[in-house]
Amino acid sequence: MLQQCLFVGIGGFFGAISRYLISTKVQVISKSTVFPYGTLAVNFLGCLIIGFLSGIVLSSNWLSLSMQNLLITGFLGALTTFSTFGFETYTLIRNRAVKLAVVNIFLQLVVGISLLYFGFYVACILF
Amino acid sequence: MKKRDIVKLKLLLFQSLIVGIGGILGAISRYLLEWLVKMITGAVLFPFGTLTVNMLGCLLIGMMFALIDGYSSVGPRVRLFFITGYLGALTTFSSFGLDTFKLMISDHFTVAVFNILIQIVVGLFAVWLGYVVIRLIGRIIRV
Repeated sequence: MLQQCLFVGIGGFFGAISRYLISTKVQVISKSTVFPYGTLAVNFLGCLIIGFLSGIVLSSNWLSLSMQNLLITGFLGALTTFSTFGFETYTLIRNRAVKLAVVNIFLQLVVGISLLYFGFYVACILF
Repeated sequence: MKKRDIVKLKLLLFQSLIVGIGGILGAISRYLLEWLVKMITGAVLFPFGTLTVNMLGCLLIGMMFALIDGYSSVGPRVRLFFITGYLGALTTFSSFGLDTFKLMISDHFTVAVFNILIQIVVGLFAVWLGYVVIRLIGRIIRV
């Protein structure tokens, strides 16, 4: 258990830093101060990779439990975020941009789960 | 490299380190909480673990932003550590997506839709609740 915590922690360290750097960069590039493109980008990326990795887990025994904890629970868990997504959507609603809030929820869910499915599908073909 | 660039790079490394340390603690908290919830509920189908960490994270992020709005003493480093690092890693969108996807492909479509609805609706409510509770406490004790 303690050893598994270590793997989760190491993954979390790199996942959180990657999220910080990617979401800040994407938000700057998007030039938007209203719509949360940064969080959208990291969540999409995380969904694509988690789909791919869980496809590998399902169709081969390449990833040991420790590796799953490092990459999936630690890294991808920390790369993606639900709290910031929730807060940004709440802020949009509070600023009376309800339409944008709905678009944000819709995009995160539909595109996120579609990317996950795509990653999963590709991994099942490859492995 | 110019001296100004080095200073900028040093600052970015320092900020990343703060976020990363918050990330270690957040990810480990998530791992332990999910394990605990799984032990308590004993549920194999519905992802109560991910639900718990996400709702807790939403409540806490609402509280933190109420503190930031009300007190200028909450500095940018606290924000990086606790909000970006800790709460960002405590909550997860990828596991939420994977849980939902697994429910969908195992013919539990209704449960998958229920999971999405509950995370979004309760999550937004938790952000609001956290924010309002802190503002209210601030008003009552006048700090």
